[in-house]
Formats: sequence, structure tokens, C-alpha cells
Amino acid sequence: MPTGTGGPRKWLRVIVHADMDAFYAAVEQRDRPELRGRPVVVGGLGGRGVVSTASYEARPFGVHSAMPIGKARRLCPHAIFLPPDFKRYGEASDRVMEVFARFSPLVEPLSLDEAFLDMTGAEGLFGPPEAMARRLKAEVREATSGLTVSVGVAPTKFVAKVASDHRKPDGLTVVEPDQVLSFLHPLPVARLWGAGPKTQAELAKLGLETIGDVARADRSWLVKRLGAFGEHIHRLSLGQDDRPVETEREAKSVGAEYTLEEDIVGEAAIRPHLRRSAGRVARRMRKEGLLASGLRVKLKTAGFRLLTRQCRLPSPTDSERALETAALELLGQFDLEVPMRLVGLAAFDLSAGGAGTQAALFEEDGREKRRTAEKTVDLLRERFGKGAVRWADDGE
Amino acid sequence: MEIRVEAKPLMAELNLALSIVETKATIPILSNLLLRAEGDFLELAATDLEVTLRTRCPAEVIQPGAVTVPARKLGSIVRAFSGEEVPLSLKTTPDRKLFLQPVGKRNEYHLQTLPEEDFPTLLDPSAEAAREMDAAAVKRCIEEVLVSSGNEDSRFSVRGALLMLEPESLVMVSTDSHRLTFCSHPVQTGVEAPLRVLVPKKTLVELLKLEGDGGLKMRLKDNHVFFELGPRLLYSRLMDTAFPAYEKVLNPATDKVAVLGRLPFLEKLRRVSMVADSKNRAVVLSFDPAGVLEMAVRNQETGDEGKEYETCERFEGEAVNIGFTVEFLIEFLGVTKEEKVSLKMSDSEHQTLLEPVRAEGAGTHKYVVMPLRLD
Repeated sequence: MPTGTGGPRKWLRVIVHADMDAFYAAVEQRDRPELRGRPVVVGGLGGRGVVSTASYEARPFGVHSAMPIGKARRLCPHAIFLPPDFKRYGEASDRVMEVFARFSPLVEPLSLDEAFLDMTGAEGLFGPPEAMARRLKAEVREATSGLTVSVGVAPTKFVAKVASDHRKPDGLTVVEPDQVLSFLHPLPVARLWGAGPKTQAELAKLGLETIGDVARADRSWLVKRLGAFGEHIHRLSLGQDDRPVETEREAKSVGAEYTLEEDIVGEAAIRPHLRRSAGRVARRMRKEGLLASGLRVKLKTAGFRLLTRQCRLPSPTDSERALETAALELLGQFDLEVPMRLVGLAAFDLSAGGAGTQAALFEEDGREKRRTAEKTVDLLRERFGKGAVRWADDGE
Repeated sequence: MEIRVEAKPLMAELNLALSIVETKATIPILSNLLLRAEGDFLELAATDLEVTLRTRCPAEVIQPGAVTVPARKLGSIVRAFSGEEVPLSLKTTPDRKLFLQPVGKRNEYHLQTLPEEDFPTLLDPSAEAAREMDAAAVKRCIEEVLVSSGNEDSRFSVRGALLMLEPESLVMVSTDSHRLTFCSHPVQTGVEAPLRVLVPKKTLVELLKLEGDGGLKMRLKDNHVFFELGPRLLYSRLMDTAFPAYEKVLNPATDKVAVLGRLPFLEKLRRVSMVADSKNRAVVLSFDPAGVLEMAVRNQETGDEGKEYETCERFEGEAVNIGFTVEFLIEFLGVTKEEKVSLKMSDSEHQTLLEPVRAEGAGTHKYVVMPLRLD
């Protein structure tokens, strides 16, 4: 593998992906010295809780994030199990983000413990990419009293993200522009952004095991087999990824809307689009662990007039059924005789659920069952594809 | 219209009327009070179209008549004169103003008016049969129920209270979707068949302000409820919101009971709540089997912590930890008057039932609260 800094191809962009190592567990170990060197698992400790973060001491036992807490307890019974303390992680995260902000005005936080930085043109201030990354790591460690971050530097977001994961924990990987393909191609397809277990199986069936295999495959053949996603991963496998670092990602609301091919009139016509939006919004909230306390319905008339109505939800929720019910109630507040060209909704007043949520006295009948069902559907769709399951009352 | 009226009693009625008038009324006439002089009194009326108050104060009527004047302006001027020894003279002038002057003094005020006809039509329920109840008992019931009345109307939160008359009891229920109050007071209501209406919160709040403990007359007419106490008539449209099926949550299955002295419990909760941050108002109540209650608050922002302890007068059941929004407990303990309260609990996920410990036959006050999730 060629190593030269200042090699033949110049850096068009310098993208840094910085990812804190086992962040929640690391904060706990930092604050409670007696936990250092011991397996620590942070997660929801209730019946349906899942692992948020496992310390590196717990990982050899097979404990990883998103695993049901019960399973983690079986795999690693001697681990210390802690409920998450988001206030403290939030404080630590603030310190980390402050450091990032010193390095670049273009920071795109992906979560509390992970961000992209666009450091293009900053060589004059911080030196070549590797020096930048070393300095970033040192300043994070100092600002957080000892937390470590793994950093990947590359010309694109995708490669930077793969690179930060390359030598975790406390890793530093710089992928020069002319090393991108030699870096990517030996890696398994699982490292492709967005390739879940189902896609991996699909790719394996096609005989594609490494990113290099994908790169060498014919793009139109991939598209035929995998749809638009095929094109996406083919581009990634060739190191093509021009997505910019986007600041201001902070989700104050989660929304979905549909611009319709033809204008529609009346509640019956609007309903299915609201349901679709509710489904998309709720899935995203469940994925990100958010609960909404408010809902806004948005309609745009054929004359491009934007109409919105909003309400408070009876209790914080991530259920598509609850969103849909509230949305239909709001629909009664619009003049629905006007033709509409756009239908959408947004959930707002978002909270991270869990601790400190005030429980509600009254619930929709069967709400808990419905919630479990919705989560199961999420899992099925993730594993077997979007069309794998459908609600019986979807009526399509 | 021309009258002479004492400033002090006029001010008392004006204060009641002013709390009806919306501060940000969009229709100009709703910022005005209707004044009507006849017989030996001045009638004042104020409305926000939902709630209306008609009241009167004694006056020397020289020329009967009626007019409307800006409520707040009249209120401030009369308030400024309420120290005067002499009565106020109020009369309408040919240029449609209200002239106001302390009798025998030189200072004078001229207020803009709007014609009486512009004022919303006032309702008169006197032809309807009245149910007469003990005003003190009704007010007590309202105080209890206002604690959990919602601040907005949604599916499970009602900005008002359910009022039910049964032959020998008055029942009121309110909920803001996280807690619910059910109170039943032994009151001779005069109804033969049970009667059930939903009364807006503002009406209940205003009713509490009406003085007098005698008989409160309640009437129903044209989808309105009327309360008459002494010379004052307060009425409002009934709400047509659906009230949640409260019966389902009223008697939760519980297997632990604690009886505590109300005042020490209240005082310690108030003190420990000072530690809590503005967003997260959680207090964790931990009972051990010996009956010692720990009240713990941890400020998530600063890490400050506070703990208070109280020994139950009685405790039955296993140890239990339950988180609550601390104000939910404080508000209940603040409105009850009894010396002791009981908490009936199951676990940290289900509702807890709080009740004042009362003598048999002294009525029921149930307060059902959902917990705050702890993990």
C-alpha cells in the first residue's frame, strides 16, 4: 500500500469522521474509577430494554449494542449493568462538540458521540491530515478528562466513516485519495453504509463478499438485482460519494410529506397519505429512540397555500397508530373541500423517552400490543425488506 | 342613565367582573362591561362569550338606563376613587360618554361608551327550576377538582370538570391525562334522576370567587349551566367534549398502603423539591417494609441531591420505589385539609391512589396519579 503524504493525487476534500469509543460506558468508567477495567453495559434495564453501549471489556463476551439486555446478562453475567444517564452523557458530548467546533465551522453531529467535520483547506492551520487528527484526538481527551475518540480522515464521508471504525478504540486512520480503492476493496460488504443483514445475504447470494467484488460488478446488473440501492453501493465501492457535511442536523421535529401526482379532494383521499407519513415518521422516531409530544398536519392546496394544524399528543409516543389517530382528528379542522397537492405531518416536541417520562392515565385500547407489533414489523422490514410485511388494514 | 353609587361596593363587583373580561378580547364590545341602572341597584355584566357574570350593587337610581364602558378603564378609575368618603356620580351624556365624578367634587372623567344593544344578549334562567345546594360544599368540591383539571382539551385531558348530581351527593371529576380527581360530597341536591354535565374550568374558577356560603342555586337551560349565589349569577355554555372513561382507572389494584401525616409529608416534599431542576421535576418515593419513607430528588443538570425522611403512621406491603412529578403530590396535599392521607400503591409503572383519611360518611376524595418512569 503506498504511503506517501503529498502523493500524486491531491486532497479535493478533507473529511473527518470522529467517533467516541464506547461513549456511554466510557463516561461511566471515567466518573466511577471502580468500574475501570471491568465490563460495563449501559442500557435500558427494564423488561424490554436493549444495550446502548458495552465497554470494550464486555465485547469479547459477545455483548454489543442493540442486543436485548436479558441476552447481555446471560452472555456476561459479571458485567456492571447501568441505566443510561443522558444528562451526563449530554454534558460530555457538549465538551466533545465544543472541541470539534474549534477545528471546523462545518460539523455534522450524527448523535451524541459521533460527527463529521469538513476540514478542507485547514491544512494551513492544523497541518496535514494526520497531524490534524492527532491534534483533534488530544484535545478531545483533554477536554473530557480522558475519553478517547477514533478518527478517520478521507476524501469522502463514507470512506472517513469506515476509516474511523478501522482501528477502534483510540484509532487513527488516514486514507489518502490514491489509497481509497486499495483501502476499501478488501473489506467485507458488511462495511458498506446501509447494508443490513438482508442486503448482506442478498449480496452473498450474488457471490459478492468484499467491497472489491461489488466494485468489479456491472452496475446495470446490480441495479437489476438490488434496485436503486445497487447503484448506491456501486458508487460507494468505487469511492464515489460527494455528499457534503451538513450542519444544523439537529432534529427539532421529524416529518414526512408527499407531493401528489394529482391534486386530491376530501378526507378519504387524504387519509392514506397521512397514514403513510405517520408510518415513516414513527419508524424514524423508533430508530432514533425518540418520543413526540406534539403533532402537526400539513396540507398544501392546489393554489400552493400552506395550511397547518397542530395538537398535543395524549402522551409521548413513537407509535404510528397514535400519530395517525391524532392526525385524523386534526384533519377535521381543515376545509377539505379544497383540492390539495401535498399531504404531510411532523412530530415535534421530541424527547428521548425513558427516564423522566410522565406516564399517562388513559391509553388507547391495545396501545401496548400495537406498539410491540410496530417494533416487530420494524425488525422484519429491516431483515427482509420493506415489502416483507404489511398491516392488514393498509388496504393497498 | 344617572346614578349615585358607593365606590367600595362597586369596586367589589367590578373586581369579579374584570376577571371574566378577556385581556386580549378581539371583539371590542367584549372589553366592555354592561351597566344597567334600575330600581335601587346597578347591574354589571361581563362576558367572554363562554362565561358570563351578572351581578349588582346597591345604587341611588336617578334616571334608569344602560350603557357599556371599557371594563379595565372604569375599573382603574373607580379603584383610584375607592378611598373617597363621598359616593360617585355616574351619568351618560348627550355625546354618548359616561361622566364620572365624586359627588360635590370638581374632578370629572368622561369615558367612551358603546351602545347597550351591541352587548351580547344576556340570558335569564329564572323560569327554570333551581337545584339548591350548600355553597360551601360545592366550593370545596371545586377546589379539590381544579387540581387535576387540564390546561387544554385533548383526547384525555379536559379543561373543565364533570359535575354530576345524584339525589344525595354531588360528584365532580377532572383529569389532565396524567392524574385524576374524583370527589363526592354528601349534599342534598334536590334531583330525582342523576344529572351529568361538563363545566368549563374558567366557570369553576370564577364560581370560587363569589362570596357567600348560603344556598347555591344551579339551573340548566339551553345547553348552559347557571349558578346563582346571592345577587350574583354566573353562567356558561356546557362543554361538549367527551370525558374519558374515568371509572376504569379510579380503583387501581394495589397491594401496598401507607398512611402519613399530611403536613409533615407536604412540608418535606416542598423542601426537597427545591433541589429539582426546572425541566425534570421527579421525586422518588421509597417505602421500606418498616414504614420509613425516603423522598429523594436528584437534579440532573447540576447533580444536586436532596433527601427527606418521614415515618409512616401505618405501612403494609413490600418495599417499593415510585417516581412522581413532585408538583402532582404537593398540589394534592395542599388542597386537602385532613390530618392524614393514605397512599395505595402497586409498583412504579401503575397508578397510585391518594386519599385523605376521612370519617365515614364525610365524602370521598380520590386522587389517582400516574408515576414518572425511572429507567
